[in-house]
Amino acid sequence: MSGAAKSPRDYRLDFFRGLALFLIFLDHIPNNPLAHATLKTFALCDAAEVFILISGYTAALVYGRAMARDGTVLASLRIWRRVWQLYVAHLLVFLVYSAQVAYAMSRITNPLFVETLGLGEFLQRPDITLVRLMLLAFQPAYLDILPLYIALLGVFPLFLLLLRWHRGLALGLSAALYVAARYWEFNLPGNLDSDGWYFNPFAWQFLFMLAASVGVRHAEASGQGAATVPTWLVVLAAAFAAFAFVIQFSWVLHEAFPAVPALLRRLLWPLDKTTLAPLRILSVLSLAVLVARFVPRDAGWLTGRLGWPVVLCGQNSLDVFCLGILLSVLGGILLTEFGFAPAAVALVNLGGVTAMLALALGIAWYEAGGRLPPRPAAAPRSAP
Amino acid sequence: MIAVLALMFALASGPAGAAAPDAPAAPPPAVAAPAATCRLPAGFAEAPVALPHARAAVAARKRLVVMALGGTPMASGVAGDAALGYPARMGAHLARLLPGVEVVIDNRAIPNRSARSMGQRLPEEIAQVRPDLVIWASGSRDALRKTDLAVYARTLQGGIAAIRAGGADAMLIDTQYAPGWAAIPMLDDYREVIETVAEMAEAPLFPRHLLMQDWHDHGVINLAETDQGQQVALARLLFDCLGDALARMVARGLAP
Repeated sequence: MSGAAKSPRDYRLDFFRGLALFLIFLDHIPNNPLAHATLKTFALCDAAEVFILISGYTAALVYGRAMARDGTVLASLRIWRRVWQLYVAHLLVFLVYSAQVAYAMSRITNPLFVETLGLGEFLQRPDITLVRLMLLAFQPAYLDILPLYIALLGVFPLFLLLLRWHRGLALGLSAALYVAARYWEFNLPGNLDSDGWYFNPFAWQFLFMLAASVGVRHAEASGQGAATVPTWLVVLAAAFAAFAFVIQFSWVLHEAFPAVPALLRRLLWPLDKTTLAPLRILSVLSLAVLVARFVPRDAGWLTGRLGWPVVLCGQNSLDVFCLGILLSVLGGILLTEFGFAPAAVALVNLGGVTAMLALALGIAWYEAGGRLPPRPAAAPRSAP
Repeated sequence: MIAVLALMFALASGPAGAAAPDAPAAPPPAVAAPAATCRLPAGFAEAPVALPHARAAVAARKRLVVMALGGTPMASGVAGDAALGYPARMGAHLARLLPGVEVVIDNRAIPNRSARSMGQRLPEEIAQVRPDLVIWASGSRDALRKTDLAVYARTLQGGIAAIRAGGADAMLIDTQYAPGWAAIPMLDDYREVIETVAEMAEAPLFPRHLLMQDWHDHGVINLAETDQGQQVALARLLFDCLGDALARMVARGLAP
């Protein structure tokens, strides 16, 4: 905590990471009506991009400082210890997920619908898929963000060294890999009959490293006060965010009301997610710039009664993320069993978010020795 | 539960395994009777259908070659006999609706195929079959594999282009309606892509999902049936109804 006074934790990162976790939960409930009200309706990206962007920035901030303080070896080991935690979490989530899906499968008896069975590959060929699972080469639906995060953090020490040595070179290499992966379509091996990882790590590393390059700069400049965002960048970001909103929202509206034209659809649709289309990167970057400019680092609501629990979710992102994934599957099972009545939909969505908040509060309570940690008082304004 | 899973995989593994022992051995009644019970929702019969290639072929040669492309349901193992699957039933209904026209159905469906693998072999198969019309059902295998929606969309778009380049019309069929448990994966996202691709390519879209939901909701076909023998009988009825609706839609596209 010694450095805390010098550069207080940026709660915006925790808050928006927590928010992304909620959106990932809502988006992953099959056929969830509420999923139409998440980020992917209003922007050309979704919560996955937000999560990877914040994770890249935070990793560079935290491990960049660690590398400066403790040296390369210790910082690398710290990163790999985190990778191990993520890997263990991934395997555990898979175990619970398998049980959930196996139960759901046992309820499908009509051979008309065999194609929609989720886990068939694993239950049919456990001898092959078990090994592939451990090599991250088997990723059932839902279980694909953690493998990406594991892969990105796994090579992060190398990239962090490069970033700290020469930022331009590091970013250039990352961009080249991104372009090459999109052009030659190479990917890590995925499920048995698929084309590769759902989140192609060679493409998605670019967003992570882009965010990390900003994080490294802020880590080096810590204590110098909040970096100001140049006005031209804010204007550009606002223009692009507005453009992305109009485009995406017109597509969504067109689905429901064919009279509304789907703007520029012939030109822009569909946007790749596996290879992370450039417009997706621009979309999430524009949102990040707007948040950096218009949400002050010391905004009172971040540590307020409503904001603080979300911040705690972001601070315990691994646990809350894993719970969210399992709750999505459970939510799908419950809605399937009891039907999509508005009350049931509301209950499942609210119940899930409440459970995620409760877990975060519980962890905070436990770690503070059996009491909830005091909310930080509204940070002192820079000018009195 | 192991027994249930084993049974399910046995059913899934091949057409031969799908005929349950207590299923009625007799083929379903002739064309007219079951079709009469298959209501078609309001509006289904009015939507315009454009099938220029097929119409020209029928006018010129009095012959219509339809190629069927799809996965498990279209491969018809569930009905116990390909002749009772919906492409074959569509052929029977078309023959009734188009007297004097020779209707040939070439069913190329294979269980558990993704759109991508269907699309890859499409040019080759079109060269072999030389169809006037291709009906293409996909989506559920892709949803299960979680194919990138953009990749899926481009596969459909490329397939439609290949079909048209081969001198045929393309008609897309959207994903099945599944009550309850079978709706676990994100099927809706894939169905939306099929709709969007069809709209952008101005290709006719056969609303299988809507029809199945309508029949299920109105008690015509209980898709939630759990009795194995009944499931086979209901699958036959479903395929006959789908074949009937498809035939009527195609016939509308052929009308001058």
